[in-house]
Amino acid sequence: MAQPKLEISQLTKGFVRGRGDIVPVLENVSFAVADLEFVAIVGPSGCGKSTFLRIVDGLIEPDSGEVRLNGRAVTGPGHGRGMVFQSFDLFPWRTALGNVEFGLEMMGVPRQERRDRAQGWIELVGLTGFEHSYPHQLSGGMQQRVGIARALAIEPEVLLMDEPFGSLDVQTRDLLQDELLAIWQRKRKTVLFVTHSIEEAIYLADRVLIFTPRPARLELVLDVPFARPRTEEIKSSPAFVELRREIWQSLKRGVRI
Amino acid sequence: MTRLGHGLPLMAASMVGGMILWEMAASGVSGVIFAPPSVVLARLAQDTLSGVLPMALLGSLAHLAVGFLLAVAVALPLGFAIGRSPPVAAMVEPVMNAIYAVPPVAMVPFLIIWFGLFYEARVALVFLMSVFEILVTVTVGARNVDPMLLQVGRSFGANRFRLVTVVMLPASLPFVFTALRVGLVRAINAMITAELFLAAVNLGALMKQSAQRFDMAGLLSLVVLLCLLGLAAQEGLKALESRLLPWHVRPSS
Ligand SMILES: Nc1ncnc2c1ncn2[C@@H]1O[C@H](COP(=O)(O)OP(=O)(O)OP(=O)(O)O)[C@@H](O)[C@H]1O
Ligand SMILES: [Mg+2]
Repeated sequence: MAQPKLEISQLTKGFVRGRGDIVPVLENVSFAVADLEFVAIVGPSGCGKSTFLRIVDGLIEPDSGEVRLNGRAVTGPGHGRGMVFQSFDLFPWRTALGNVEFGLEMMGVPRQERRDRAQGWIELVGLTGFEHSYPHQLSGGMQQRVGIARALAIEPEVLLMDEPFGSLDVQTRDLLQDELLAIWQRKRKTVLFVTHSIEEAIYLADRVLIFTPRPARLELVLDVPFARPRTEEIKSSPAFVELRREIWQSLKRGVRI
Repeated sequence: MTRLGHGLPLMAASMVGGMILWEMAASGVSGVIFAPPSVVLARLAQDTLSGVLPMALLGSLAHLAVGFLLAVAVALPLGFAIGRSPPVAAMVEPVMNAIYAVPPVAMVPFLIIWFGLFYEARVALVFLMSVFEILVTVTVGARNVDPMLLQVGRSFGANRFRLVTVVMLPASLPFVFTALRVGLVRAINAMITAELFLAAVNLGALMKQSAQRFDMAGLLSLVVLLCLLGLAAQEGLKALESRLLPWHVRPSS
C-alpha cells in the first residue's frame, strides 16, 4: 500500500474514575487505513469505540500513541475529518440547512456560497423540501441524513461515523445503509464506521476490525470480499453467512469470563 | 399556535367559572367585607376611564421597568459566568444563595436607610427582588448546555469564542426567556411591595386609600389590575419566545 491515508499507532487511553484509579479504555490499538477505504469497527457496547473515534477526530488526546492523517500527526479537531454522531446531535435552533452549513461557517465560507453548497448536500441526502425544517420536526432517519450532510459538507478526507444508524428502526436503517453506499460510490471517501451490528459492518465495509471488550484492543481484522455496488442479496449468500459467523466467534472469544 | 388553540377555550372556561364562584361568594355579603365581580369590574372600568388608574399604573411601571432592566443587565452576564466557570461559581454562588434566602421585605429597612423612601428605593427593591430569580435560572441554563452539542461545535472547528457565540448562547436562550418570565413576575410583586412598604404612591397609594375607606370594590379592582398586568407580562413574553425561538418546543405544552 502506498502512504496510508490514516495511521493509528499504539493508541492507549484511560479515564480517571473516582479516587484517582484509572480505567483503561483503549490498549495499544494500531492499524492503517488506505485512501478511499471503507473500514468498519465492531465491538461490544462500552468497549471504547466512541472514545477511539473521538481521538481520531482530535476531540480528546490519547495517553500515548498517535493518529496520522496523510503522514501528519493529528493534534486537534480539523477539517480533514467530519464526524457523524451516535445520537445525531443536531443543533436544535438551526434548520436542516443551517445545520449543514455549520462546518462551512466555522471555516469562514461566505454566506451565499455556503448556503448553495449546503443546499447541494441536502439534495444529495434526499432532504429537498425539508431544508427549512427544524430538527424536532424531522424523523430520526431524516435527522441523521442531516447529520451525514453536515459532515460531508466540509468535504472531509476522512468520514468518521459513530453508530450513525444505531438508534433507528430496522427499515430506516436498511434504507440508510443503501443510501450511504450510493453516496459513497459517488463521493468516494475514506470512512471509519463504528457499529455493533455485524451485518451492517460486512454489508458496508471493505474491511472489518473487531475490538475486544474494554479495554479495547484489536482482536481481528477481516477483509470483505464482495464486489461493489452491493445489494441486499449478498446478505443471504454463503460467504456472507460464513463471515458473520467468523466475526461472531471472534467477538465471543474476546469476552473473557 | 396549537398550544394556544387548545388552551384558549379551557382558559376562558376557568375564568368564567371563577367569576361565577366569586359572584356567588360575594352575594349577600356586605360591601365592606367583599364585593362581587360585577361591581369590581364596573369600578375598574370607571377608574380606567377617569384616568386615575392609568396614571397610577404609568407611575408604577416607571420604577418597574428601570429596576427590572437593571436586574436583567446584571443577572444575564453574571449568570452565564457562574454557570460556565467553576471558579466564578465557587466565589459567587454561596453568597448568592445566602442572600436569595432572605425574605425581600426584610431588605426594606436597609433600602430606606440607603436610598430613602422614594423612587430610588423602589427601583432598588424591584432590582433586588428580581435579580436573584433571573440569576439562578440563567445559571442553571448555562450550566446545562448539552455537552454533546459543545463537542459537535469543537468537532466542526469552532474555537473557544465561537463555541460561546454559536453554541452556548443559542442553547441557553430558552432558559433566558424562562428567567425573564419569572423575573418579571417577581418584579411586579416588588413594584407593589415597594409602594406599600415605602412611601405610598401610585397603585400602592390607591390601595392604601381604598383599604382605609373600607372600599372593597376599589381594593379588589386594583388586585384585578395587578392580575391582568402579571398575565399580560407572562403571555407577552411567551408570545415573544415562540416568535423568536420557533425551534424550541416547551416541554409543558
Ligand atoms: N469522558 C469520560 N470520562 C470517564 N469515562 C469515560 C468517558 N468517556 C467514556 N468513558 C468510559 O469509557 C468506556 C468506553 O466508552 P465509549 O463511549 O468509548 O464506548 P463505546 O464502545 O462507544 O460504547 P457504546 O457501544 O455504548 O457506544 C465506558 O466505560 C465509558 O463509561
Ligand atoms: Mg459509542
